[in-house]
Amino acid sequence: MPVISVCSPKGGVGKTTLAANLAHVFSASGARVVCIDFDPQNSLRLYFGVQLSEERGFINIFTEDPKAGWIDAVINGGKNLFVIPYGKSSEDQRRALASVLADDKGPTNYLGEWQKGLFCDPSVLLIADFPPGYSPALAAISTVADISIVPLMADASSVSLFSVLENNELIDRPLNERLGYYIVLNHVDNRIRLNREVQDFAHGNFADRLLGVIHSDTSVIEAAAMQRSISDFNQNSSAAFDIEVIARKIAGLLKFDVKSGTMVLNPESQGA
Amino acid sequence: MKALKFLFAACIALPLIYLIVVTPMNAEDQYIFGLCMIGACFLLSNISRKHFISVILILVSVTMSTRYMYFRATQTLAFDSLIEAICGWILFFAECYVYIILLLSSFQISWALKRETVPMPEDISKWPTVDVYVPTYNESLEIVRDTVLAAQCLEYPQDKIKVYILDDGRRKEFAQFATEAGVGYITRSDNAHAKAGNLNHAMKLTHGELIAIFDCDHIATRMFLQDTVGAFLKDKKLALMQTPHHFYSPDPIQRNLYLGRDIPCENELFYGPVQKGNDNWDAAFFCGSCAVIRRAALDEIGGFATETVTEDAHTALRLQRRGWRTGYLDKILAAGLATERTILHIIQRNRWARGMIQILRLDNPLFGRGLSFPQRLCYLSATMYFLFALPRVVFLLVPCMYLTFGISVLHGSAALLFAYALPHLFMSYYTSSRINGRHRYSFWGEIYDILLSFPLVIPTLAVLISPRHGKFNVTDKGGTVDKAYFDSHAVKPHLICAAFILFSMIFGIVKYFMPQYFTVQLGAVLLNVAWSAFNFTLLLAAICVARETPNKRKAQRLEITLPVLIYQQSGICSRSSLRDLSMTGCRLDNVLGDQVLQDDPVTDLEITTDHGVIVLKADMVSNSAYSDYLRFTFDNLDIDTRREIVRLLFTRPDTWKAAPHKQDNIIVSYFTVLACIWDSLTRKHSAKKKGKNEQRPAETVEDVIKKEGVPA
Ligand SMILES: Nc1ncnc2c1ncn2[C@@H]1O[C@H](COP(=O)(O)OP(=O)(O)OP(=O)(O)O)[C@@H](O)[C@H]1O
Ligand SMILES: [Mg+2]
Repeated sequence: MPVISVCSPKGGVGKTTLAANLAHVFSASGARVVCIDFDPQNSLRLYFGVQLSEERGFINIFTEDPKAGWIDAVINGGKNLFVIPYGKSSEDQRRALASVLADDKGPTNYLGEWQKGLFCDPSVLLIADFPPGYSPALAAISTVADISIVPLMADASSVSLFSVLENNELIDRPLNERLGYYIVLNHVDNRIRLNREVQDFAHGNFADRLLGVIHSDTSVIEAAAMQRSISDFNQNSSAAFDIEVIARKIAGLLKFDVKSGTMVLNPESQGA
Repeated sequence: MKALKFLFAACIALPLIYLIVVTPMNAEDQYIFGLCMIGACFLLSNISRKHFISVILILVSVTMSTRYMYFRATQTLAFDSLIEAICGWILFFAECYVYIILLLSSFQISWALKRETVPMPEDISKWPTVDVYVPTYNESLEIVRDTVLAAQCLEYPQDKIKVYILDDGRRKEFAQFATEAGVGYITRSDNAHAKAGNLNHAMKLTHGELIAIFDCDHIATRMFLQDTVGAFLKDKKLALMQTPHHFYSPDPIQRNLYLGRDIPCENELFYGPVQKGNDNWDAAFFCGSCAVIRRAALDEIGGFATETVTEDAHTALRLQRRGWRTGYLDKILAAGLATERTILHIIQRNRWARGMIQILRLDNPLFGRGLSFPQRLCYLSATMYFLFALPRVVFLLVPCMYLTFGISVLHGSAALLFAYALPHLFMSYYTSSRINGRHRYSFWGEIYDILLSFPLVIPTLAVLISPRHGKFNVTDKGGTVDKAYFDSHAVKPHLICAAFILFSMIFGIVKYFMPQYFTVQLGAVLLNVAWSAFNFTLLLAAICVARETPNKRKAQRLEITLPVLIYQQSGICSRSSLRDLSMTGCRLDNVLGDQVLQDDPVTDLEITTDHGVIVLKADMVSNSAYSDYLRFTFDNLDIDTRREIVRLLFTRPDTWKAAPHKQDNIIVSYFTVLACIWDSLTRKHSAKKKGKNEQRPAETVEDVIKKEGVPA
């Protein structure tokens, strides 16, 4: 199954937004998608209509019974769409998970088990959301991820972050072993000159790592607040359009075949 | 070998032509002969559209016209009274003029050179430096501004191109604009020699190897230089490369008479078959704008010619006398504003006519040094053409003279005359329809000429007599016509003439039906009434041009579909499709629906182009909120934004590409003239209102992916 990790050296750049909306786009195209939250903020679930009061997540299940498996944490988030929330956690729980993930190597590792045990169905697409910066989960998933999507702001601070990515400084090794990382510039507002300059810079220097841009669009925030999809809130939202473009490009990179609204997994990528 | 063949053909053809020209016939034989020739040409013409056949048709047509002229000269010039003799000779001279113009223009258009763009060398260091001149005198900054901004968009190495405003009006706001836009500003203390003087003055201050000239309303497309400059590198003796003058606003004839019909506009004949024909004989001439000139060549003749009010053609003539070559590239690479109103059109042509006649008198191309024989003929044709005013008026009046006063200007029977005239007239219409039929429809040339004829009579005579006088007048452009009105002042003589023709026709018809009271030749009456009726139609059409229809829209609006983002105050940003755009506003699909609320107004628009994005502040036209399209006006565009809109609107290489007109058909064309007159008189606008645009969005996700591709 293809695994997409959404991570960034920086916080608040739209990782969760992007992860959730990619999941929506893919599932709407017919692919079965599981979206998993590795961020203790536990906010991804809110994009899938999960009640605020529903606080359990995989971390609770894991700490209660490490052998229980993931399936118990899965919540249906719509047609073809499943979400695994992080869950409300204590410091101890997080440390326990971290220590398991820290020496998470080899075929019997936790994530590997998770992959094999529950989601061996190759037609399922997995999207993982992470906290900003380094996290043990991000390091652990690098062995199984196929592609890493890195949202960044289109402002001056990002310019230095390009090299953080280029030099693999985030987890001290590549974010995944297959397609590598791709940058998405989020919160783009072309009315701001600096925004345009950063885009030009990115195009000039990292064209082959730049997947696309997402316009700054309040529809995103409004939709999130109403727990609706962006295009449900505003059919012509520019951000929704941009995210769809990015989703198609990811599909292209992963060699998904997008046909007539149905996303079919290309046979040759099933070996992963 | 080719020459030998030609000589051989001439040996056979010339005696034959001579025989055809001089053999007298009676009316009946001449009818049969004429109809046979017409039939033969008709057949020939329908066999193929090959150029070879066209040349034969030209030859036959010229032969038949020559035969007619020979007949006129030998058999019709006997008169009974002095007044008849005077009128008769005037008519004969007028016909001689038309005949000479026919010969010259037949020669001119017989071989059109289809010149192609010479590609620029790969090595950019070989590209010559270019100065772009935008001369202006009294035009508003609003017009000049976009021309200058477009010149800055020309795709050429930035260190090899310099743009200059040549302001003869010494206006502060122009200097300020030049600084803001980052172009040169050149002005001078006097206005000696008008435009030519202005250009010569600037030449002393700049140093480009080539000079590109754009009249201040001629907006260039961005490949202009790359399309024209290559030829200068290939041919070191090339002094000039002229391109067509194209107008994106309708000229008064189009606006007031075509009324939306697809008819070639006035200048398409010149910027098509004529200049291409000239080019074949290395006699394409400079038209003042949309051209590139080699500085070295200009230096050799002491700069632009200042003696006449048409410095352009005269400069080209001078260059050619020195052995420089000229070229004409038939590719619309720039577009400007047509003269707005009929009266302005007349004023403009007045200058052209005076200037060309000045050249005819002061620097006659037939004589003087340096030109090849074909070049002499082409320049002679160009300059002599502008004598058309006098003969035109003569042709309008002659039949009336007969019908009202009984002045018979032709000796001989009407039947015989008609028998000779028919093949001559038919053949010349027919050949020119075949050869120029996509650039000029039959009878329209006459209408254009008639419109100008009366106002040009006196200036023509004045310049013929005293060629050194005459001032350069600048044509006003960019105005608007707010209300429909009839500019009777502009066509006063036409109206008087029309009344006279109408009266004489009625008088003639009365004579025809009551022959017992008058001593007239019935055939002659019939012929003259028919001739007058034809004249009357054309004259009426010309008069209709003065029925000004409103042209309120100030800015050119182009239909163009592009992705656009709409920013609302709340920060909501939505995608829509741009449907049309002008320098002052735009129209897009209304995608906001009920989201456009009073408390969340649209603040900005972002248009995505191939060249990046254009972000601009826009005000929504409030009553468009609930319609299919949202309309916006732009306020206070800054220079950079404005330049981007200019780039988008006016500089795409295919901006002015249009499908060719349908081939002319003489009969259809005559009825079209009638229909135009009818519509103009009844104020009907035949242009169909376009339906709602198809709702395909400007750009879909697939389009974007195709455009941007997936990174490797
Ligand atoms: N393109 C956009 N236009 C407008 N708002 C956006 C856009 N993308 C994200 N946002 C908003 O920015 C805020 C931060 O987004 P989000 O929570 O997805 O970022 P994050 O990177 O996951 O943050 P964290 O680092 O805290 O996990 C949210 O309120 C979200 O709605
Ligand atoms: Mg987050």
